[in-house]
Amino acid sequence: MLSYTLRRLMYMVITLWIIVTLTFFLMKLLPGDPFGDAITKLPPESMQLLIKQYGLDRPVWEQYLTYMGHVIQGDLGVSYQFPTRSVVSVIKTAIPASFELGVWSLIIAIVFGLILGTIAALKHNKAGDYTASIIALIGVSIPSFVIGPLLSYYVGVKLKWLPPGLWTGPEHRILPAIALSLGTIAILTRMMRASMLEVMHQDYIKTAKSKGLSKSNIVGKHMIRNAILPVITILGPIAVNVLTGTLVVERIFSVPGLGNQFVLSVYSNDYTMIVGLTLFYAAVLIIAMFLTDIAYNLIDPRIRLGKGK
Amino acid sequence: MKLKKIFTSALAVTLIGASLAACGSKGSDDASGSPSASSGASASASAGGNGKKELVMNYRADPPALDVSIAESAASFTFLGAISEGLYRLDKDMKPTPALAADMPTISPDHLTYTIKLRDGITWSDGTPVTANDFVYSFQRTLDPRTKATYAFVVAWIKGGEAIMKAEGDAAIEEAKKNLGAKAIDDKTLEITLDHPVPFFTSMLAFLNFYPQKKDFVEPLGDKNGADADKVIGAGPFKLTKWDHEQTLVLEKNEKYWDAANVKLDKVTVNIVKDTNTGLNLYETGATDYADIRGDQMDAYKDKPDLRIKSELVTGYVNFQTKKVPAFANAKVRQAFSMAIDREGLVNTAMRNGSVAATGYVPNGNSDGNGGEFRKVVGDLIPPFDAAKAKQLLEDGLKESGTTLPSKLTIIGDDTEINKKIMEFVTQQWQTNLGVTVEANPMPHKNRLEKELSKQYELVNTLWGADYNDPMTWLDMYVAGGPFNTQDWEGPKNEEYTKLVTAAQTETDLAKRSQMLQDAEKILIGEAAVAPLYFRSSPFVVNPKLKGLILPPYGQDFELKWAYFE
Repeated sequence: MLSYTLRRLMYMVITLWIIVTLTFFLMKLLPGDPFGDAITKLPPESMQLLIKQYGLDRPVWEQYLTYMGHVIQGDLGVSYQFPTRSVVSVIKTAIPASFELGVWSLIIAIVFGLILGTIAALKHNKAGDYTASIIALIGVSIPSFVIGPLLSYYVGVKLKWLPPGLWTGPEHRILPAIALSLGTIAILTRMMRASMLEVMHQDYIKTAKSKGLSKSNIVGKHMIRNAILPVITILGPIAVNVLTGTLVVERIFSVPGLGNQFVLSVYSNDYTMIVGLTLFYAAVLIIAMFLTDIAYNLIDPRIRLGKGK
Repeated sequence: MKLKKIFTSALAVTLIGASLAACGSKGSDDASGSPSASSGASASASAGGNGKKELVMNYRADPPALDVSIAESAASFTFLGAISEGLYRLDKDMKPTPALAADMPTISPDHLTYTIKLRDGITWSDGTPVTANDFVYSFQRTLDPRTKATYAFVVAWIKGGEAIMKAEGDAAIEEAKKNLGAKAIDDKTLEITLDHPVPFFTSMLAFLNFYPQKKDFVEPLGDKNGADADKVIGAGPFKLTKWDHEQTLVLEKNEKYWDAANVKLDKVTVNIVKDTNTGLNLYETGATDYADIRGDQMDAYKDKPDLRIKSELVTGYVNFQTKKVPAFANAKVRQAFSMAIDREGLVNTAMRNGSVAATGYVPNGNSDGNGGEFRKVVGDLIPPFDAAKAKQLLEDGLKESGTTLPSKLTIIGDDTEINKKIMEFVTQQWQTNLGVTVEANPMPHKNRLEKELSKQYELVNTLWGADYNDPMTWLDMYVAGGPFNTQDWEGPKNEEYTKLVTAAQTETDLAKRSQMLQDAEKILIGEAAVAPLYFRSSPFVVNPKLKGLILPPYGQDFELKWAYFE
């Protein structure tokens, strides 16, 4: 188990290194420079100083080595668009909002996904099943950039139930969390439904029934607990998906999060910010996958890196 | 097997716990989200009664560092304009009124030396006095090449400024600073000597680049100056009390401001809202008093008092690259392309955001440098739309120059919604009216700018905004060999144009200078060296009860000092 974990850790570091390197060089292919429009007005003397300060006058491989040296020390550099702020501090300020939004939406998704999936399975081929399936279908097929503005307008402006945007009070969390959770609800509903249906036909359920156990007892104790297992295993990747997939929803609801920042930095050729954020997202993704794998490993010993060890 | 069981039960427990917690907090969220307790803004609106004191606004992006020297964007200018102040402040007619200065400047007969008395009792928001030295320090810091200030070229109009910008090495820079033509005669008197006469210099003194800076505040902060709420200081009507990056800026009234009696608002909360749909939704629910909107959102507000249209000092135009397409070196060919565009149709059917058809290169509202409005003095220079005549001109031009147009031309431009519409419209016009096929090639802003400045285009759909309110900011662009003459406009007409513009740069007789610039524009448009399309406007919705909010045509997005609620 330990050697497995260590090997995985090593692969993680290598993956991150490849990602950073690729991003670094791809970014250098972007047209334009990171200094914005106003640069055309900057006197050549200052321009030279600026280029020198950021080391852009040196060969690309040298820039790369310097950058990697800093990254290893946990320094992701200074943002080009906000020269007074370091990439690390920008990530630090933006991460709480993104994280909170992700957590709320995940909670909503789990609660509703599991409930809907269970209902659908119990009312198999009845009205309840169809309703849950339709909800799941809608959730899967309507992207968040459609559902977001709809929620903001109808719930926020027309019904005036909830604020249509901003991130100030607890009531501001609800709409973006819902908008972000719909897709996940759909996935979880379908998984839970399938898993429940499978469990329902197991022999031990029949045994429980013939023993004369009450229905609630069978569903609660035997069905859900067994059916939930496969669903749990996909929660890792789903959580990452939700935590990092807040990009569109953040913009629509004016959430001061990381996704918003990412788009902005790409638009303004903010080299350091792009690499920094890519590295951060990649790290989150890889760590979550790592944890999921560890969890799989605990549950199912058949999964091992490199067979037979 | 055992491990698996423990693990699953643990997970099941966690999950149930989480869902319980979720249900609990979901319930409380619902309660707080009920309409009665919803947006704070509507609550304060009803509480305010007789003119509320708190203004809530949307703003499109988090401003970059609020540093007087480095600031280059409208965002910095907007916020620093509220936090600090220059010697003068522009009123609603864009006329300079004494701010930190006690009176209008005394100008020497050669228009080069400005002597300005500072107002008594002016202080920074921390209570320390503002002195003439704070201005001298500010100008020196901006000009210092180590500061890397984009707008240093404006401050370099002061004598000796250029020398500081060009100085190399720390010692040389410090030495050059001593010779700058800005001196504190005493704490209350500032004397500025210019390199050459700048007829609109008094107005310039109202601009960000000429604000004072507090040396013992700025120096210790180094690169972090202006990065956060506690790293900004000013002498203006408001103080920045909170700055949550990418989220909110809070401005509160500065009680130490010399004119605090005339500042009616106690607090201005600015929320960063990037999506205009959301911005409008917030406005609709009363969560904000000000939102910028898009042209297609205007219709719903057409007859409502909320809608305000700001005409900007921005001109959108097409440039013809004369080296890439030799036919464009012929004036008649360019005139044909310009004349074949129905500009009224462009602004009324394609753009629909309040922009108006261009009648010259210098936009409406721009000064003529002699107390008048350039456009009103010069009049409409753009020949009226005439498809038949345009076609004739094209034929004549091609025959005259012995050139042909390539079978396919390409126009590049930004890939924003509005620019795609503009390009679609003009290419269609050229197709129908001239029978010339031009393909639109929209691309990210950065690419367009790079291609334009490196002259890698045939036609470009682009725009320019005034750096300062004078025709020179427009007309010095196309002098021979200038960096913005990307179309390579050359020949005797350009020589004539260059002569007029360069002469105007040193002319002290304002009437004469203005005349030269007018003549220059007549050549520019007559030759169709550029084809101006529209003067840009942008629409806003503003709470009709909010009065005194100025939406200036350039520089700041809004001026807050005199704003108040009825």
